[in-house]
Amino acid sequence: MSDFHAHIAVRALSHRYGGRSDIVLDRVSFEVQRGERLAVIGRSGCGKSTLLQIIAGLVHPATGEVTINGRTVTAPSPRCNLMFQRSLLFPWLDVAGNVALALRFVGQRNAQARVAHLLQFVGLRGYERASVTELSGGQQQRVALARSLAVNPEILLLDEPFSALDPVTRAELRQEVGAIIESLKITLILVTHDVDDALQLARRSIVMASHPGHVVADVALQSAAQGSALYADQRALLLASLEPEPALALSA
Amino acid sequence: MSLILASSQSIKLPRDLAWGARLGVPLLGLLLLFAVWAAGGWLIAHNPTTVAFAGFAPLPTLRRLGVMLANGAVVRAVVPSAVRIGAGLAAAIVVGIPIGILIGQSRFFRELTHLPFQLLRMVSPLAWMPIAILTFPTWDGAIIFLIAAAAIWPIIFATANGLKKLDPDWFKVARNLGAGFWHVLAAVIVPATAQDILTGIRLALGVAWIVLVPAEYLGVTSGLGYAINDARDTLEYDRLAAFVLVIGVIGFLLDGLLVLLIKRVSWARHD
Ligand SMILES: Nc1ncnc2c1ncn2[C@@H]1O[C@H](COP(=O)(O)OP(=O)(O)O)[C@@H](O)[C@H]1O
Ligand SMILES: [Mg+2]
Repeated sequence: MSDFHAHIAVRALSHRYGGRSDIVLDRVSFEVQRGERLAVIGRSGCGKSTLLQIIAGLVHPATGEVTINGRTVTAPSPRCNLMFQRSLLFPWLDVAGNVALALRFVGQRNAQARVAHLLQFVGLRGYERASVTELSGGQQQRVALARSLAVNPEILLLDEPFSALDPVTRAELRQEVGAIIESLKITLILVTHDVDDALQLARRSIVMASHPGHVVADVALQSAAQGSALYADQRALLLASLEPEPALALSA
Repeated sequence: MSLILASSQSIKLPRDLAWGARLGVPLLGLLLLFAVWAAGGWLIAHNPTTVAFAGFAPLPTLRRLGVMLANGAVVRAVVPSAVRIGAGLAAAIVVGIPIGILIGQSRFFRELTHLPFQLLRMVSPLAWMPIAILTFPTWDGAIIFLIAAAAIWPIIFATANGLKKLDPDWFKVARNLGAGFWHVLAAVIVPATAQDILTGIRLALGVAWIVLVPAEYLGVTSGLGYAINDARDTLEYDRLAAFVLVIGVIGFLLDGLLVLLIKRVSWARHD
């Protein structure tokens, strides 16, 4: 809305879960501009999922704040959608029912045409009446993506959306999601521990380290064809930044 | 599960025969029951010391049932019973489902109620009869209480069990998509737990239907239990047996209805 604010601003965010002493996030700060595509990479357990859920308003941070369009996030909103690693479809509904439910929540009634359009968009045309438990993992994630896009979010948060998939499906879906996000001009934060996800979907990457989770690097990524020298260089750089810190490596 | 699978695989019937068997075997069972009934009736009728009870046999019973259906006696007995069952079951559902949700969601409440509920559950509902009579000003109130006291346990435990199938992340997805409290309740909690709750209601209906008849031996002058007692007092054994038949058939139909409902709302894969 306003041009004076970053689309998303994360300010001095720290978090620990109730009843636990370990700090999950330690003073994490960064900004994301409208239409930017940011990858957050880091080893498992460094607080990436926690960070995304705080941005989505699903978890309240201990200290610090997240603003979207300059306004502090206090509750979840359909405008900022989080897609989980597990598709989390509702098994008592068919494919169309799952997508239509999102529209029902935001008060849209005549959803049929919109659902058909969304399913075509994610490559599941004709699957309206299919049972979600009979779909493959990749197809389930496509339905989840259609459900996420149904409410027209301006921000899409993806939490390792491909990590449960086999390598072939993974590469295929990654490419399609890239095309979809490009065409929608949506602001993207993608959380992953896979540097290829970051290189192929994002133009910038934040690297996190754990115990406690904090930002160690913020690098711009250039568009490069997979297999090119530039791609390989950037890949090596990201992988190196994911290495444990020297002190830790010594003590381990 | 695997046992059933193994046995169904070991019986390899040709297709058309299998089809006949699927309908035929249950019918055969019913026929056997009828045969035992008929044989019993014949024995009673041909024994001088029991001949007074000959009305229990199939033919007198069915003949009398026809008369009772025609003159409205069946409907007159069934309606008050149905009202009591409905009220008792409704009370058990209204109280039982929230308690079941509490047990399913709160560990504290689950642990707090575990011993008391296991104790209370084991008390025959009919054991509450004297207390119910003291507590409720009307016979109907006491009967409805007894039915509810029997029906509430399966509903509580089935509801608590159904909640275990709720994935906590479903709530996150729903809230993120803009769902409010009522949306979450109607679109996530109810459909996710419906099959378990209905299974609890099915069990509850079974015990309620069983408790109904002895409970209606109490004070009231209407309903199936009263009708059976009355038929015994007037030595009309064909009427008595006809009511027994009515109770069995209605219970069977109600149970079948719930089975259909449960199938409709089931979403877990049947494999
Ligand atoms: N709901 C929770 N309650 C308590 N601890 C949690 C919860 N979710 C995550 N954690 C802990 O927080 C840390 C970071 O988890 P998470 O944000 O899932 O990291 P990542 O997504 O990078 O793997 C882990 O140590 C994890 O055990
Ligand atoms: Mg995670």
